[in-house]
Amino acid sequence: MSIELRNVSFAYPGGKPVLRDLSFSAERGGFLLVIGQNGVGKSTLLKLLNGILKPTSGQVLINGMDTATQPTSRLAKEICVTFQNPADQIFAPTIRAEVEFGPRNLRRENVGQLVDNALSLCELDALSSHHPYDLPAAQRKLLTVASAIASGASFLAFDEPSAGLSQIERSIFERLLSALKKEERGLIVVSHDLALLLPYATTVLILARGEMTYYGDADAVTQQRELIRKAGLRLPLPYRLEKLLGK
Amino acid sequence: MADRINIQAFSLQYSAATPRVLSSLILEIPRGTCCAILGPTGAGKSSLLHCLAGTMRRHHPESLSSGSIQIGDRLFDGLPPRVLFPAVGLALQDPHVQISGVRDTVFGEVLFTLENTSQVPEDPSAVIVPLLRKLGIDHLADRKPTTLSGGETQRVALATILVARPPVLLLDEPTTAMDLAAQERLRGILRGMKQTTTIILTDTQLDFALGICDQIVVLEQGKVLFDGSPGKFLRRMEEFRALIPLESWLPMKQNILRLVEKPTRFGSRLAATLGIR
Repeated sequence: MSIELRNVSFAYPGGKPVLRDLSFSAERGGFLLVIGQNGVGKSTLLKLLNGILKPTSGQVLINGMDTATQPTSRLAKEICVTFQNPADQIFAPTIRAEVEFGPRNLRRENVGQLVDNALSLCELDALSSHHPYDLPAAQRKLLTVASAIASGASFLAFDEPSAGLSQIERSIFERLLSALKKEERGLIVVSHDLALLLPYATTVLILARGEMTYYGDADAVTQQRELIRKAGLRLPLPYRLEKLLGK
Repeated sequence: MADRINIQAFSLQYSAATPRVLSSLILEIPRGTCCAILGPTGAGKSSLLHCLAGTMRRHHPESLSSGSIQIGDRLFDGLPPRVLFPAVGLALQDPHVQISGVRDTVFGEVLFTLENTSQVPEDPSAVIVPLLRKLGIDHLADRKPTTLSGGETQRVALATILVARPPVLLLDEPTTAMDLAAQERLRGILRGMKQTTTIILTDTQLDFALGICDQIVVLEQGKVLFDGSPGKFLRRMEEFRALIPLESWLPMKQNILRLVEKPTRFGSRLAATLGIR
């Protein structure tokens, strides 16, 4: 069970290439953190994983299936991608209905159990009859994560899942990351939030100008200062201070 | 010219049937300074900004308020009755809502603000292009504003407010989608604006606020838990660890405080970086 990209390039119709010659893989139970400047193509990369976008060249293989030939409905059973802006995906009149939509349409056997588990992991169970737009923005973000978890897919890909989360939701998010690891789900997360996510990541991928400039061990990435600088990125202030203060 | 903000015993309810979201707030933000309002989801951060921007009454006409809000020499008994833009500019938490989408280019979208506020200069490019450059989005000037990435959208949304040069600038979690380099740019822009602008920003985290804010306010459930300088906040940060992510700061706290109190060049550089005097 894995995700594999082989020499993948992508350009929007009539546009310049956004992503060039990407090759990497992600396994179940692993956590791949994708970092890069705003507009570098991180969200585009996630849309290539569930077949919303098809590569211009190269292959995206999800559990052995080529996204170029499989319908997105089939791929959705294997990988669920959340969008950066919750408003792009939330549509149901209640929180429970929103979370149920995935597993019901994927014809999972244990819909009730999947939904209960996802709502409880995201600590939304007490609010399940509320309208999603009555939630504060941070909880709406958790709702998109709950929908992904409930889909039952073996791979989950989150686009900036911690953006705008306060300490309350960050703690919830950390707990659910540990739970998903236990369930052996594979995670692919696009984020700027190294302080929260780096401790959980197993592998890091840095995108710069459409190319992969680092793909390797998460523990070693903070040592790659030159690569990080060249990618137009900066380490969080506490990381930078830690180094200075250590002197 | 920047305006002083003075909030006295201000309370807000969205309706008579709902609890207070802001409760007997007392806050003073001196003119030309930057105040960061930190706190968890539901603390009332966005509600407070909407009250100051004059947008609360429009969105929630049934809301009830008491106390007063003073912005410069305008004193409001309860909520300001109308939207105060361009005297007060509010960058919304969701930047996608801020983009009108009625213009085909980022340049046009920013120009749209100047048209709406009757501020169109003879040569709009001379105003808009340098602003886009400062925000690091000049390469997007001809792009369609609704096709941008999250972090790019957030910066375009900011440009539509900054271009009007409001003397009071309210930023509701302005960096949630920005990479750290973009955050640094914004930090530089805000530092440069402080002479002429009073800035209030909200955030769920500490990092962005340090180095630009002169005052930190911690809100929880509509009440002020803390109001003081960044230095005072650092000294007392343990108290707020359940509300604000401080795990990476706490182990460094003693070291930081020791160093900034030393009269060395490193100590004063560190103090300046963190905005501790």
